[in-house]
Amino acid sequence: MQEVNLLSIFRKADDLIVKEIEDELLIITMNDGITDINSSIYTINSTGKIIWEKLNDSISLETIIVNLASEYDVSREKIEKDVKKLIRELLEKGMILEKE
Amino acid sequence: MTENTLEPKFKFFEVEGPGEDNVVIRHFMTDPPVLEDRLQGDLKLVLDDGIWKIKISDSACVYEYLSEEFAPVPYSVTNIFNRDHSLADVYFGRINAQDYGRLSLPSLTGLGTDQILMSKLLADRNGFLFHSNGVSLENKTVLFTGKSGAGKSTISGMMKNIGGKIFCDDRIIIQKNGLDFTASGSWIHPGVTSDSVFTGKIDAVFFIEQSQDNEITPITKITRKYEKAMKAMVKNFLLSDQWTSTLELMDAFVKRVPFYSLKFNLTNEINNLMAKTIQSL
Repeated sequence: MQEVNLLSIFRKADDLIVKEIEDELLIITMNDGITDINSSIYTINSTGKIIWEKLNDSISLETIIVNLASEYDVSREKIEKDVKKLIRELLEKGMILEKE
Repeated sequence: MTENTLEPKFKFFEVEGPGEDNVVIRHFMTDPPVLEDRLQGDLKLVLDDGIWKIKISDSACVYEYLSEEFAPVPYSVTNIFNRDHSLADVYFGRINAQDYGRLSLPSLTGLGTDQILMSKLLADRNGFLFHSNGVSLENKTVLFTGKSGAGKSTISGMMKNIGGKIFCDDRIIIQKNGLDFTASGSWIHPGVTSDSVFTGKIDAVFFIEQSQDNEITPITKITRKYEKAMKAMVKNFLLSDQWTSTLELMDAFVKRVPFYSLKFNLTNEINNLMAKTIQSL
Protein backbone atom coordinates (compact mmCIF):
# COMPACT_ATOMS: atom_id res chain seq x y z
CA MET A 1 0.00 0.00 0.00
CA GLN A 2 1.36 3.38 -1.02
CA GLU A 3 2.46 5.53 1.94
CA VAL A 4 0.83 8.96 2.00
CA ASN A 5 2.99 11.75 3.43
CA LEU A 6 0.77 14.19 5.31
CA LEU A 7 3.16 17.04 4.57
CA SER A 8 2.68 16.55 0.83
CA ILE A 9 0.66 18.96 -1.27
CA PHE A 10 -1.54 17.53 -4.01
CA ARG A 11 -3.20 19.21 -6.94
CA LYS A 12 -6.09 18.03 -9.05
CA ALA A 13 -5.19 16.75 -12.52
CA ASP A 14 -5.87 19.18 -15.36
CA ASP A 15 -7.95 17.00 -17.66
CA LEU A 16 -10.94 16.00 -15.53
CA ILE A 17 -14.71 16.12 -15.95
CA VAL A 18 -16.33 16.59 -12.53
CA LYS A 19 -20.08 16.24 -12.08
CA GLU A 20 -21.85 16.88 -8.79
CA ILE A 21 -24.68 14.45 -8.13
CA GLU A 22 -26.46 15.50 -4.96
CA ASP A 23 -23.93 14.92 -2.15
CA GLU A 24 -21.52 12.87 -4.29
CA LEU A 25 -19.09 13.55 -7.12
CA LEU A 26 -18.49 11.71 -10.35
CA ILE A 27 -15.04 12.26 -11.84
CA ILE A 28 -13.85 11.20 -15.29
CA THR A 29 -10.21 11.40 -16.35
CA MET A 30 -9.59 12.62 -19.87
CA ASN A 31 -6.50 12.41 -22.02
CA ASP A 32 -5.99 15.49 -24.17
CA GLY A 33 -9.73 16.14 -24.10
CA ILE A 34 -10.73 12.58 -25.01
CA THR A 35 -11.72 9.58 -22.93
CA ASP A 36 -9.45 6.81 -24.10
CA ILE A 37 -8.72 3.24 -23.07
CA ASN A 38 -6.89 4.44 -19.94
CA SER A 39 -9.64 6.75 -18.72
CA SER A 40 -11.33 6.17 -15.37
CA ILE A 41 -14.80 6.95 -14.09
CA TYR A 42 -14.89 7.25 -10.32
CA THR A 43 -17.61 8.12 -7.82
CA ILE A 44 -16.67 9.90 -4.60
CA ASN A 45 -19.07 9.65 -1.65
CA SER A 46 -20.18 12.55 0.52
CA THR A 47 -17.17 12.27 2.86
CA GLY A 48 -14.79 12.10 -0.09
CA LYS A 49 -16.50 15.08 -1.68
CA ILE A 50 -15.76 17.22 1.39
CA ILE A 51 -12.09 16.21 1.22
CA TRP A 52 -11.96 16.75 -2.56
CA GLU A 53 -13.28 20.28 -2.15
CA LYS A 54 -10.51 21.04 0.35
CA LEU A 55 -7.78 19.88 -1.99
CA ASN A 56 -5.92 22.71 -3.62
CA ASP A 57 -2.37 23.21 -4.70
CA SER A 58 -1.26 25.33 -1.78
CA ILE A 59 -2.07 23.44 1.42
CA SER A 60 -0.76 20.15 2.76
CA LEU A 61 -2.84 17.17 3.74
CA GLU A 62 -1.95 17.89 7.37
CA THR A 63 -3.56 21.33 7.08
CA ILE A 64 -6.63 19.83 5.44
CA ILE A 65 -6.97 17.29 8.26
CA VAL A 66 -6.62 19.98 10.93
CA ASN A 67 -9.20 22.14 9.18
CA LEU A 68 -11.66 19.27 8.82
CA ALA A 69 -11.18 18.27 12.48
CA SER A 70 -12.09 21.80 13.53
CA GLU A 71 -15.16 21.91 11.26
CA TYR A 72 -16.67 18.49 11.93
CA ASP A 73 -17.33 16.53 15.08
CA VAL A 74 -15.15 13.62 13.96
CA SER A 75 -11.92 12.34 15.49
CA ARG A 76 -8.59 13.33 13.94
CA GLU A 77 -7.76 9.62 13.54
CA LYS A 78 -10.92 8.94 11.53
CA ILE A 79 -10.36 12.00 9.31
CA GLU A 80 -6.72 11.07 8.70
CA LYS A 81 -7.72 7.53 7.76
CA ASP A 82 -10.40 8.77 5.32
CA VAL A 83 -8.06 11.35 3.78
CA LYS A 84 -5.25 8.82 3.26
CA LYS A 85 -7.63 6.28 1.73
CA LEU A 86 -9.08 8.81 -0.71
CA ILE A 87 -5.67 10.21 -1.66
CA ARG A 88 -4.40 6.70 -2.46
CA GLU A 89 -7.41 6.02 -4.68
CA LEU A 90 -7.20 9.37 -6.46
CA LEU A 91 -3.47 8.94 -7.06
CA GLU A 92 -4.02 5.45 -8.44
CA LYS A 93 -6.62 6.76 -10.90
CA GLY A 94 -4.50 9.75 -11.93
CA MET A 95 -7.02 12.27 -10.62
CA ILE A 96 -4.51 14.11 -8.43
CA LEU A 97 -0.79 14.72 -8.66
CA GLU A 98 1.72 15.36 -5.89
CA LYS A 99 3.11 18.84 -6.14
CA GLU A 100 6.91 18.90 -6.46
CA MET B 1 -22.15 -3.35 -53.53
CA THR B 2 -24.22 -6.54 -53.81
CA GLU B 3 -27.02 -8.09 -51.76
CA ASN B 4 -24.32 -9.87 -49.77
CA THR B 5 -21.99 -6.97 -49.06
CA LEU B 6 -24.00 -6.14 -45.93
CA GLU B 7 -25.63 -8.56 -43.51
CA PRO B 8 -29.34 -9.16 -44.25
CA LYS B 9 -30.32 -7.42 -40.98
CA PHE B 10 -29.91 -4.04 -42.68
CA LYS B 11 -32.99 -4.74 -44.81
CA PHE B 12 -35.13 -4.12 -41.72
CA PHE B 13 -33.83 -0.57 -41.48
CA GLU B 14 -34.01 0.47 -45.13
CA VAL B 15 -35.82 3.73 -45.84
CA GLU B 16 -37.04 5.41 -49.01
CA GLY B 17 -34.36 8.09 -49.11
CA PRO B 18 -32.37 10.60 -47.09
CA GLY B 19 -34.05 12.15 -44.05
CA GLU B 20 -33.34 15.43 -42.28
CA ASP B 21 -30.26 14.34 -40.36
CA ASN B 22 -27.96 12.26 -42.55
CA VAL B 23 -24.57 10.57 -42.34
CA VAL B 24 -22.76 9.90 -45.61
CA ILE B 25 -20.56 6.78 -45.68
CA ARG B 26 -18.55 6.19 -48.86
CA HIS B 27 -16.82 2.86 -49.51
CA PHE B 28 -13.56 2.65 -51.51
CA MET B 29 -11.59 -0.42 -52.47
CA THR B 30 -8.21 1.22 -52.28
CA ASP B 31 -5.62 1.79 -49.64
CA PRO B 32 -6.27 4.90 -47.55
CA PRO B 33 -4.47 8.10 -48.47
CA VAL B 34 -1.42 9.12 -46.50
CA LEU B 35 -3.20 10.46 -43.47
CA GLU B 36 -0.79 13.24 -42.62
CA ASP B 37 -1.39 14.75 -46.06
CA ARG B 38 -5.12 14.82 -45.56
CA LEU B 39 -5.65 15.63 -41.91
CA GLN B 40 -5.01 18.84 -40.07
CA GLY B 41 -3.16 18.71 -36.77
CA ASP B 42 -1.48 15.83 -35.04
CA LEU B 43 -3.10 12.43 -34.92
CA LYS B 44 -3.44 11.15 -31.36
CA LEU B 45 -3.57 7.39 -30.89
CA VAL B 46 -6.31 6.60 -28.34
CA LEU B 47 -6.56 2.83 -28.80
CA ASP B 48 -4.39 0.06 -30.22
CA ASP B 49 -5.44 -3.44 -29.16
CA GLY B 50 -4.20 -5.48 -32.11
CA ILE B 51 -7.58 -5.46 -33.85
CA TRP B 52 -8.51 -1.79 -33.53
CA LYS B 53 -6.54 1.40 -33.89
CA ILE B 54 -8.27 4.68 -33.18
CA LYS B 55 -6.60 8.00 -33.89
CA ILE B 56 -8.07 11.46 -33.47
CA SER B 57 -6.93 14.82 -34.79
CA ASP B 58 -8.42 18.30 -34.75
CA SER B 59 -10.28 17.61 -37.99
CA ALA B 60 -10.95 13.89 -38.08
CA CYS B 61 -11.36 10.56 -36.34
CA VAL B 62 -9.60 7.58 -37.93
CA TYR B 63 -10.62 4.00 -37.15
CA GLU B 64 -8.45 1.16 -38.42
CA TYR B 65 -9.74 -2.37 -38.10
CA LEU B 66 -8.50 -5.83 -38.96
CA SER B 67 -11.41 -8.20 -39.40
CA GLU B 68 -9.87 -11.61 -38.87
CA GLU B 69 -12.69 -13.11 -36.86
CA PHE B 70 -15.93 -11.56 -38.07
CA ALA B 71 -15.93 -11.64 -41.85
CA PRO B 72 -16.04 -14.60 -44.24
CA VAL B 73 -13.25 -12.82 -46.12
CA PRO B 74 -10.56 -11.26 -43.92
CA TYR B 75 -10.03 -7.62 -44.76
CA SER B 76 -8.58 -4.48 -43.31
CA VAL B 77 -10.54 -1.28 -43.20
CA THR B 78 -9.74 2.34 -42.46
CA ASN B 79 -12.49 4.84 -41.68
CA ILE B 80 -11.76 8.53 -41.92
CA PHE B 81 -14.60 10.47 -40.33
CA ASN B 82 -14.91 14.21 -40.11
CA ARG B 83 -15.04 15.47 -36.56
CA ASP B 84 -18.85 15.49 -36.22
CA HIS B 85 -19.09 12.06 -37.90
CA SER B 86 -21.48 13.22 -40.61
CA LEU B 87 -19.12 12.07 -43.40
CA ALA B 88 -16.93 8.98 -43.60
CA ASP B 89 -14.62 7.61 -46.23
CA VAL B 90 -14.18 3.88 -45.71
CA TYR B 91 -11.15 2.25 -47.36
CA PHE B 92 -11.16 -1.54 -47.72
CA GLY B 93 -7.78 -3.18 -48.10
CA ARG B 94 -6.67 -6.74 -48.93
CA ILE B 95 -9.82 -7.57 -50.95
CA ASN B 96 -11.01 -7.43 -54.55
CA ALA B 97 -14.41 -6.46 -55.94
CA GLN B 98 -15.68 -10.06 -55.86
CA ASP B 99 -14.76 -10.45 -52.21
CA TYR B 100 -16.35 -7.08 -51.37
CA GLY B 101 -19.58 -8.39 -52.86
CA ARG B 102 -19.73 -11.25 -50.33
CA LEU B 103 -18.33 -9.64 -47.18
CA SER B 104 -21.63 -9.79 -45.27
CA LEU B 105 -20.54 -6.78 -43.26
CA PRO B 106 -21.99 -6.50 -39.75
CA SER B 107 -21.71 -2.72 -39.95
CA LEU B 108 -22.04 0.13 -42.42
CA THR B 109 -18.54 1.28 -41.55
CA GLY B 110 -16.92 -2.11 -42.17
CA LEU B 111 -15.89 -2.18 -38.50
CA GLY B 112 -16.91 -5.03 -36.18
CA THR B 113 -19.83 -2.87 -35.09
CA ASP B 114 -21.16 0.63 -35.73
CA GLN B 115 -21.33 1.35 -32.02
CA ILE B 116 -18.49 3.86 -32.00
CA LEU B 117 -20.16 5.81 -34.79
CA MET B 118 -23.51 5.60 -33.03
CA SER B 119 -22.07 6.73 -29.69
CA LYS B 120 -20.49 9.76 -31.30
CA LEU B 121 -23.66 10.69 -33.18
CA LEU B 122 -25.87 10.24 -30.12
CA ALA B 123 -23.61 12.34 -27.90
CA ASP B 124 -24.42 15.32 -30.13
CA ARG B 125 -28.11 14.45 -30.36
CA ASN B 126 -29.35 14.13 -26.77
CA GLY B 127 -28.70 10.43 -26.63
CA PHE B 128 -26.48 7.56 -25.59
CA LEU B 129 -26.19 3.80 -25.97
CA PHE B 130 -27.32 1.67 -23.06
CA HIS B 131 -26.21 -1.91 -22.49
CA SER B 132 -29.53 -3.61 -21.87
CA ASN B 133 -32.34 -5.70 -23.25
CA GLY B 134 -35.49 -3.91 -24.32
CA VAL B 135 -38.97 -5.37 -24.13
CA SER B 136 -42.30 -3.93 -25.17
CA LEU B 137 -45.03 -5.43 -23.00
CA GLU B 138 -48.65 -4.33 -22.61
CA ASN B 139 -47.90 -1.01 -24.36
CA LYS B 140 -45.07 -0.31 -21.92
CA THR B 141 -41.39 -0.16 -22.80
CA VAL B 142 -39.04 -1.57 -20.19
CA LEU B 143 -35.29 -2.17 -20.15
CA PHE B 144 -33.40 -4.91 -18.33
CA THR B 145 -29.78 -4.37 -17.48
CA GLY B 146 -27.23 -5.86 -15.14
CA LYS B 147 -23.79 -7.37 -14.96
CA SER B 148 -22.69 -9.82 -17.61
CA GLY B 149 -24.35 -13.15 -16.82
CA ALA B 150 -26.99 -11.56 -14.58
CA GLY B 151 -29.72 -12.99 -16.76
CA LYS B 152 -30.80 -10.21 -19.15
CA SER B 153 -31.60 -12.71 -21.88
CA THR B 154 -33.30 -15.05 -19.41
CA ILE B 155 -35.63 -12.43 -17.98
CA SER B 156 -36.46 -10.91 -21.37
CA GLY B 157 -37.15 -14.44 -22.65
CA MET B 158 -39.55 -14.91 -19.74
CA MET B 159 -41.26 -11.64 -20.69
CA LYS B 160 -41.53 -12.85 -24.27
CA ASN B 161 -43.32 -15.95 -23.02
CA ILE B 162 -46.04 -13.77 -21.51
CA GLY B 163 -46.53 -11.67 -24.63
CA GLY B 164 -43.60 -9.26 -24.59
CA LYS B 165 -41.74 -8.27 -27.74
CA ILE B 166 -37.94 -8.13 -27.47
CA PHE B 167 -36.76 -5.22 -29.60
CA CYS B 168 -33.13 -5.25 -28.50
CA ASP B 169 -30.90 -7.75 -26.76
CA ASP B 170 -27.74 -5.77 -26.30
CA ARG B 171 -27.24 -2.06 -27.05
CA ILE B 172 -30.26 0.19 -26.95
CA ILE B 173 -30.39 3.71 -28.34
CA ILE B 174 -31.73 6.09 -25.69
CA GLN B 175 -32.72 9.64 -26.62
CA LYS B 176 -34.38 12.50 -24.80
CA ASN B 177 -37.61 13.49 -26.44
CA GLY B 178 -39.22 16.44 -24.67
CA LEU B 179 -39.23 15.52 -21.02
CA ASP B 180 -39.38 11.79 -21.75
CA PHE B 181 -36.78 9.31 -22.93
CA THR B 182 -37.24 6.87 -25.77
CA ALA B 183 -35.59 3.52 -26.41
CA SER B 184 -34.93 2.28 -29.94
CA GLY B 185 -33.61 -0.93 -31.37
CA SER B 186 -30.75 -0.85 -33.87
CA TRP B 187 -28.47 -3.00 -36.02
CA ILE B 188 -25.36 -2.63 -33.88
CA HIS B 189 -25.52 -6.03 -32.22
CA PRO B 190 -26.27 -9.65 -33.15
CA GLY B 191 -29.79 -11.03 -32.93
CA VAL B 192 -31.47 -8.29 -34.99
CA THR B 193 -35.00 -9.11 -36.16
CA SER B 194 -37.92 -7.17 -37.62
CA ASP B 195 -38.91 -6.44 -33.99
CA SER B 196 -35.72 -4.39 -33.67
CA VAL B 197 -37.28 -1.59 -35.70
CA PHE B 198 -39.01 -0.10 -32.69
CA THR B 199 -39.07 3.11 -30.66
CA GLY B 200 -41.03 3.56 -27.44
CA LYS B 201 -41.14 5.85 -24.42
CA ILE B 202 -39.19 4.22 -21.60
CA ASP B 203 -41.46 3.39 -18.68
CA ALA B 204 -38.93 1.70 -16.39
CA VAL B 205 -35.42 0.30 -16.15
CA PHE B 206 -34.85 -2.90 -14.19
CA PHE B 207 -31.42 -3.69 -12.76
CA ILE B 208 -31.47 -7.45 -12.50
CA GLU B 209 -29.72 -10.16 -10.58
CA GLN B 210 -30.53 -13.81 -10.26
CA SER B 211 -31.45 -14.81 -6.75
CA GLN B 212 -33.25 -17.48 -4.78
CA ASP B 213 -36.09 -15.01 -4.31
CA ASN B 214 -38.33 -12.95 -6.53
CA GLU B 215 -38.44 -9.30 -5.60
CA ILE B 216 -38.93 -5.95 -7.30
CA THR B 217 -38.06 -2.83 -5.32
CA PRO B 218 -37.82 0.79 -6.49
CA ILE B 219 -34.42 2.48 -6.55
CA THR B 220 -35.08 6.06 -5.54
CA LYS B 221 -31.77 7.54 -4.40
CA ILE B 222 -30.52 9.66 -7.30
CA THR B 223 -26.84 8.93 -6.66
CA ARG B 224 -27.48 5.17 -6.80
CA LYS B 225 -29.54 5.53 -9.97
CA TYR B 226 -26.79 7.61 -11.55
CA GLU B 227 -24.09 5.14 -10.58
CA LYS B 228 -26.06 2.21 -11.98
CA ALA B 229 -26.98 4.04 -15.18
CA MET B 230 -23.37 5.08 -15.78
CA LYS B 231 -22.25 1.46 -15.50
CA ALA B 232 -24.74 0.41 -18.17
CA MET B 233 -24.01 3.29 -20.53
CA VAL B 234 -21.74 2.37 -23.46
CA LYS B 235 -18.76 4.71 -23.30
CA ASN B 236 -16.74 5.29 -26.44
CA PHE B 237 -13.98 7.87 -26.71
CA LEU B 238 -16.15 10.89 -26.02
CA LEU B 239 -14.71 14.39 -26.11
CA SER B 240 -14.85 16.72 -23.10
CA ASP B 241 -17.85 18.70 -24.34
CA GLN B 242 -19.68 15.49 -25.26
CA TRP B 243 -19.11 14.16 -21.74
CA THR B 244 -20.44 17.36 -20.23
CA SER B 245 -23.66 17.17 -22.24
CA THR B 246 -23.96 13.40 -21.71
CA LEU B 247 -23.70 13.77 -17.93
CA GLU B 248 -26.42 16.44 -17.99
CA LEU B 249 -28.55 14.10 -20.06
CA MET B 250 -27.94 11.26 -17.62
CA ASP B 251 -29.01 13.58 -14.82
CA ALA B 252 -32.35 14.15 -16.54
CA PHE B 253 -32.66 10.43 -17.34
CA VAL B 254 -32.26 9.22 -13.76
CA LYS B 255 -34.66 11.87 -12.48
CA ARG B 256 -37.33 11.10 -15.08
CA VAL B 257 -37.31 7.32 -15.47
CA PRO B 258 -38.27 4.90 -12.66
CA PHE B 259 -35.53 2.41 -11.77
CA TYR B 260 -36.12 -0.89 -10.02
CA SER B 261 -33.97 -3.60 -8.51
CA LEU B 262 -35.27 -6.93 -9.80
CA LYS B 263 -34.25 -10.21 -8.19
CA PHE B 264 -35.55 -13.36 -9.76
CA ASN B 265 -35.18 -17.11 -9.84
CA LEU B 266 -36.04 -19.37 -12.71
CA THR B 267 -39.56 -20.12 -11.58
CA ASN B 268 -42.23 -18.05 -13.25
CA GLU B 269 -43.19 -16.22 -10.04
CA ILE B 270 -41.48 -13.09 -11.28
CA ASN B 271 -44.06 -12.83 -14.05
CA ASN B 272 -46.80 -11.92 -11.55
CA LEU B 273 -44.60 -9.32 -9.90
CA MET B 274 -43.67 -7.88 -13.29
CA ALA B 275 -47.32 -7.75 -14.34
CA LYS B 276 -48.20 -5.78 -11.18
CA THR B 277 -45.26 -3.44 -11.60
CA ILE B 278 -45.98 -2.78 -15.25
CA GLN B 279 -49.64 -2.05 -14.47
CA SER B 280 -48.49 0.51 -11.91
CA LEU B 281 -46.30 2.43 -14.39
